[in-house]
Amino acid sequence: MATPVDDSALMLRYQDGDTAAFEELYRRHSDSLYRYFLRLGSDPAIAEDLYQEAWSKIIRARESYRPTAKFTTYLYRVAHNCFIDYVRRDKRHRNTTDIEPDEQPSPDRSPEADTETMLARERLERALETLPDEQRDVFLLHEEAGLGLDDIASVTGSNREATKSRLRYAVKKLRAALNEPEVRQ
Amino acid sequence: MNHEDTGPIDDRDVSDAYRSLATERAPEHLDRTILAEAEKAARRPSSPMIPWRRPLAWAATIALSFALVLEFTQTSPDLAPPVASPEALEAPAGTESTTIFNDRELSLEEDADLPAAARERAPAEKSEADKQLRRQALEVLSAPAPAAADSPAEDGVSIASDVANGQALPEAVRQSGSQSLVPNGRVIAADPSVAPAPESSSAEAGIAITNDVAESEAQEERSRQSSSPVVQDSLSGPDLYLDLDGIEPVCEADVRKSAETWRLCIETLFETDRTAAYTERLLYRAAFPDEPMPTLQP
Repeated sequence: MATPVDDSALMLRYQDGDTAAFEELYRRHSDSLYRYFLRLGSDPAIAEDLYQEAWSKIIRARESYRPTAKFTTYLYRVAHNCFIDYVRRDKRHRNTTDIEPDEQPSPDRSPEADTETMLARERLERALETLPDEQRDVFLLHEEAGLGLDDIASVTGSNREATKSRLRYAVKKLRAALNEPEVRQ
Repeated sequence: MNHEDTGPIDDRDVSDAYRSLATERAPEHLDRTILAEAEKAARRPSSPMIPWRRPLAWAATIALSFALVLEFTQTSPDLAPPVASPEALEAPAGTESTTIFNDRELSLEEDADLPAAARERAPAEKSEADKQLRRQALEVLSAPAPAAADSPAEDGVSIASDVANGQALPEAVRQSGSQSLVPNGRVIAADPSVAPAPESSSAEAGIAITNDVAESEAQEERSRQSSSPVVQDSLSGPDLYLDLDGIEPVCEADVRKSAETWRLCIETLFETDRTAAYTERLLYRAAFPDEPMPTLQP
């Protein structure tokens, strides 16, 4: 079985004009990045805009890309900055995030879905929404991007201890939400 | 997934629950849009200027900076106002002193016979140079001046004789080869002790002080110098070069027709205004170089 090509190598190949390398790179990270924006802002329209903006920045900056860090770290740093810019542009973004879980686009949802799974999802999503932005950001970077504490700290521009503390609080609250049969605000 | 460095904060249940629920995928229309954009960007050729634009900018910046520094280095000595050193202006015992320093600029001639300190030019502010010059001038005025220096022939500076004979002093100074240092041709004072001019060249006077100051400042300087008790004989020597054109005589024209009456007028004037008397005596000496000089004794 062939060893998958490193993300940075794919990006360097795309730098040289290999669009197939970029397509492979995109397939690897597209869904997780989309979910990152989706969970971070909870608004599919905003998530799509930010998602497209992040990838456009990656494409435009291909010539200046240097593999000094993991590509995932680079990608999510761009994504994080896109979200921060959005928050600054629209300080009332929280008011637009009050979307019911039923409205979330989910190809997996079907009438046959397990009721318990639906309830768990609802509780988890509500718990995620109640998290502060910083804690939710750290948790999503941990879960969706698979970044460690140091990489998360690098992406968010904070130190390792602060990142660890935020992640601990986020996990603690989410666990409490999972253990509760009903989580209501 | 890289969860090993999160340690106790890693909750497997929460992680599994999240993964089982977070199954959304990026919309296909976004996939198509982004991949099309990536392909379009890859086809677009890079600007041919990019590889050498940055080095060119750096080279231009460095070259301009170097040229600027070079320009300042070459022009700054001429821009800096010259300042006479204290050693150059200090009058040794037994030599003549200068009196009138109503000047704006002091220029040292580029003379090989000058003391090294006198040829140095300090890049100081012009006003600072003026203050220093005035202070040094007052020190010079305090130096004792023997009466023996009263004769123009004894100190070997023939420019003084030119002044005494009524010749145009600025012309004499211009002939010394220091025209650029005497912009307006007004030479106030020179000290032979400071600039020991060789006998062969009377034009090699040491210090040339230009005079373009306002009349009010000149009057102020005169009044300041008149307070010095040892100033009375400092003008008697031939080392004082004065542009007499701008000086108005105090004595009446009828009095100045005769050397004797003018001399008496100057001696009388000395009792009321010493500085004016000294200045008047210069005019007297220029007009009657062979007549006895007025006696200015307190």
